[in-house]
Amino acid sequence: MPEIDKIHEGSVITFKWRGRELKGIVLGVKDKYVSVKLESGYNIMVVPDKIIYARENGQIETKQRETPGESGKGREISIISTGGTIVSKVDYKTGAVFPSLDIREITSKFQYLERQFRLNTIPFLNILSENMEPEQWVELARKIREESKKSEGIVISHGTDTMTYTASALSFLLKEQSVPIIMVGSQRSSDRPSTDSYLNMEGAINFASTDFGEVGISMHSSISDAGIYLLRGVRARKMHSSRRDAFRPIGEKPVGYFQDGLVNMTGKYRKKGERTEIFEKIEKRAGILYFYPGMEIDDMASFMERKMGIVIMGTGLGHISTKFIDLLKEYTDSGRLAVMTTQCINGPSDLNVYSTGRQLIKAGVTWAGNLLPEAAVAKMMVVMANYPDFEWSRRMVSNVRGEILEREELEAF
Amino acid sequence: MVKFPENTKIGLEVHLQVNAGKLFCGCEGEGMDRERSFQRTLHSSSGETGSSDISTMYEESRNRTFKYIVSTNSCLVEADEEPPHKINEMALNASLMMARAFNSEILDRVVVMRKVVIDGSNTGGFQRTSLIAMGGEIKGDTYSSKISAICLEEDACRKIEERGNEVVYSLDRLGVPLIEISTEPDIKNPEGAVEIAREIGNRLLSAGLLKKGADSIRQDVNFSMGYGRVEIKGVSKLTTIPDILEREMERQKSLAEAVGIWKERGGTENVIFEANNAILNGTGSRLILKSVENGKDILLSILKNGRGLLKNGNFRIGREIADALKQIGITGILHYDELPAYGITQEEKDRIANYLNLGEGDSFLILLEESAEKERAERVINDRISKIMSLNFSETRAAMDDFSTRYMRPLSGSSRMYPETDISVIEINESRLREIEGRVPLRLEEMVEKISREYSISKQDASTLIWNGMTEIFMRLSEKYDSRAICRELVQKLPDAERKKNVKIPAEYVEDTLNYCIEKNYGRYSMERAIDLLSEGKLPEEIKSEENLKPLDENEIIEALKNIKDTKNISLVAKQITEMKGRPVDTSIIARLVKVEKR
Repeated sequence: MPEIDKIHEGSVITFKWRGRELKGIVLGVKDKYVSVKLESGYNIMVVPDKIIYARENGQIETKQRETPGESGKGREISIISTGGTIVSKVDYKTGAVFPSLDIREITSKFQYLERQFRLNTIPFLNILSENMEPEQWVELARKIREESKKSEGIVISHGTDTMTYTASALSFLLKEQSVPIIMVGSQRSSDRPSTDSYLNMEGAINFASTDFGEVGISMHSSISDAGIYLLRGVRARKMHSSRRDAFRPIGEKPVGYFQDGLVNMTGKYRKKGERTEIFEKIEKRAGILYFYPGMEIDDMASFMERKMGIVIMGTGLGHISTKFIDLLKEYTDSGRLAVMTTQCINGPSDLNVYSTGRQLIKAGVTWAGNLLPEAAVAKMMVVMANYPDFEWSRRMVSNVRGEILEREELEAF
Repeated sequence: MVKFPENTKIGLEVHLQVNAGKLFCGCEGEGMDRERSFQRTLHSSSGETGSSDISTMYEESRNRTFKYIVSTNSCLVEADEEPPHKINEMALNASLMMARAFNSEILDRVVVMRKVVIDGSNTGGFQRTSLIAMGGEIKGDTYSSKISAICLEEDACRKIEERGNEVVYSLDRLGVPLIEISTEPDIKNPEGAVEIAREIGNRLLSAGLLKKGADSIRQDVNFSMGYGRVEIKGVSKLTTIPDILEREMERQKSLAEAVGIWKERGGTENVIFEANNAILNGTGSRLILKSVENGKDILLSILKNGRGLLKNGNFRIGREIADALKQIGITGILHYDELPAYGITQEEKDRIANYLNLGEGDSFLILLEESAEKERAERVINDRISKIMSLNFSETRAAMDDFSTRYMRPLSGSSRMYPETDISVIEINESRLREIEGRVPLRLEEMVEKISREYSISKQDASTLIWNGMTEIFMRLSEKYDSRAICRELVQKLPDAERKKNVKIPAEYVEDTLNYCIEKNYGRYSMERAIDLLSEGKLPEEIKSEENLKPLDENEIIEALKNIKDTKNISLVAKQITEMKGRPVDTSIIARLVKVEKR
């Protein structure tokens, strides 16, 4: 009789379980439990009474669809894949969702796109976006520079968790851009029949063929599979952990809309330029500090100590307890940067209104209207690394990529 | 009784809705449609072996969009906008209790799976299902059947309508727990199937866990008589099983007979359409004129040796072809056997026959469709005919109201199952099993007998309590108060009050207020008053007070009687006093007082 420790993943087995004879394929063995896919398709985890028959080498055959790296004809679009839900599949060993899918499986769904576009897919990273590091933003910017020489547009597939950080970082790393850069992700992995990835990608490819000269985000505009928004990377935010329409523009309307194969540009945007130039340095010693009642001076001090600059997410118009004033004064006096933003996300920070705000101004804290915290930290990393003039404060508060809105319309909230 | 062939095999998949809220979120089992809706498309995906299931590939090829009407009992989980929550404990326990009832072996660990279904009936494109137990036996009075599996799964969306390429669903039913009990194909005749299915439903009913409503029990019937397995979906009424199976048996018999004749004539050849829009020039047929006007072509093909088999006596191969085409959205098919008809004359029929050079015994097909659809239609028709010719009729069919069945899709295979990664494996440990030990449902007759005996009520009343799902409440209240009095409130007063006001009072409200009356020692008239107030739409918290439910004492009644002139009808007097004072009154006290007064 074959012993339990001789069974491996992929073995085809026949066994007895409480008097019943069962057949299936072994998915795994842990302790005395064998995980088996039965002929009915159900998975079970049981302790077999007796293994009657086991055949080795019955490897689970995984069929991969053959998909070319380049396909279609027409305008050339580069698709740079970095991982995330959009290319995730179930990992049957751990049972978790993991990035493993070839991005080409998604693009190959749209045959009509292949008549209009020549899609060039580039596997660049394969990570979940929470593992993205600032050095990789620079790598990505270099890749963009390279691809922009041959393509008319660039699509970057990315996990949604830190998508707005990457979008902001790229916005500031690119001094000039000659092609649209569209980030795309999905909230439902592509192995689910109800995935949002196909439509988001379809929107992204179409947005990438416009004259949009910024870094944008292409995601569902509602929970329906209908329209796709083009959002300005520096003004977008993931506002829901699970919904398809998680990404919202903050303080402004979407830049564009895609539906039924057509793009409609509805907002103001910068047109693409002549060439693509990038900054190649990034200062990692910057961070975001979220204030809460009860926060200790020591906690804040130890966080600030290792940073050249901090973005504070204060309450309301941009406040934190006045007990931190001295600490902040000392910090900015040493030539380091403290920028105030608001936990409210919507609306500006303004340190002129309340006395606490004025004390913060005196302590050297700066603020930049409705600049979002994620955009602020990304901007800080780029500014501090690439401007040795130390005029960081001035640069933080001046609008360069549409990250600070001069006016917010009533309907924008 | 119709005679079924010796080799008839019938198996059942009985689906029972559990009355326990939804399986993977906090929503109620019942709800109403709201005005909001959203719309989706679904794509086929592959399981862990990388292969896509034939039935899902088939669905994707239909290219449809789905509209979902949001209901008051749906949340982000039903909308596929949030991962599922933890499994509903009550529903899980109900499935374990059913497994125990039929001596089925419960698995130590339950793995929740996704069964890919992309007809839109599940927003995620899959149905969550888990195998709970295997084996066991269902014993009815005459028949018995072995169980192959007991599963706990989510119910699908309720289909509202189908408009062209759009299917409209309501979310109200999506996620309601379903216990699915599948039997081995060991049932020999339809009567046995009815008895076994009834026995299964009655067990959950007996446990007080069957959801009320028209579609709380639905069954799929597996049937074979030597030509492969046909799965008939959506048989909602038990009693229709024999009629449906009889029709299905006759369909298969006629098909087999037709195939015999066809083969004797030398078989058939592939259908290949060619367009000839001029052939019916000058026709008076409105069907033809209208379809030409809509830009469709007249496509013609010979059907070799098919004459008299498409629609003639019992032969209905024409309908088999039309049903298969309908599934890909093509409806304009006509054939030799049914002509002259639809305004097409005998002369026109002959004209087509001559044009196609039809041999004796040949038939033809007319397809009114754009030429671009020609290949798709040919493929479907040729596949359908070669499947019939091979005498393998296995497929999934849908039960219709007239007891006939319609082709739905190929049988689905095992590759459409893969694990639900958002829910970890659930351990069925000793303490959980102990929890259900005393609650294993009895057979319905035994349950009626037991309740009637233990609580000294009639079998009729015991049965009514069970059917109304009030058994557990009845038993709990009877621990504190006279069971016959409680029975009267639940079996007579409650349905009566609900009927009068045309409302459904939630069972927990009834228990809550009756409990209050018992604790306060208020008695029967207060209980009735409480039920009346509930039927007027009041909430238990508004009702439970002395001002509402404390019976009037003798002095208060004497006081009240002073305002009433006509005291002949005691119950009318009681009603008037209750209306006046807003509190219950004991009619026997009134009767006594009125008598005294008269003397």
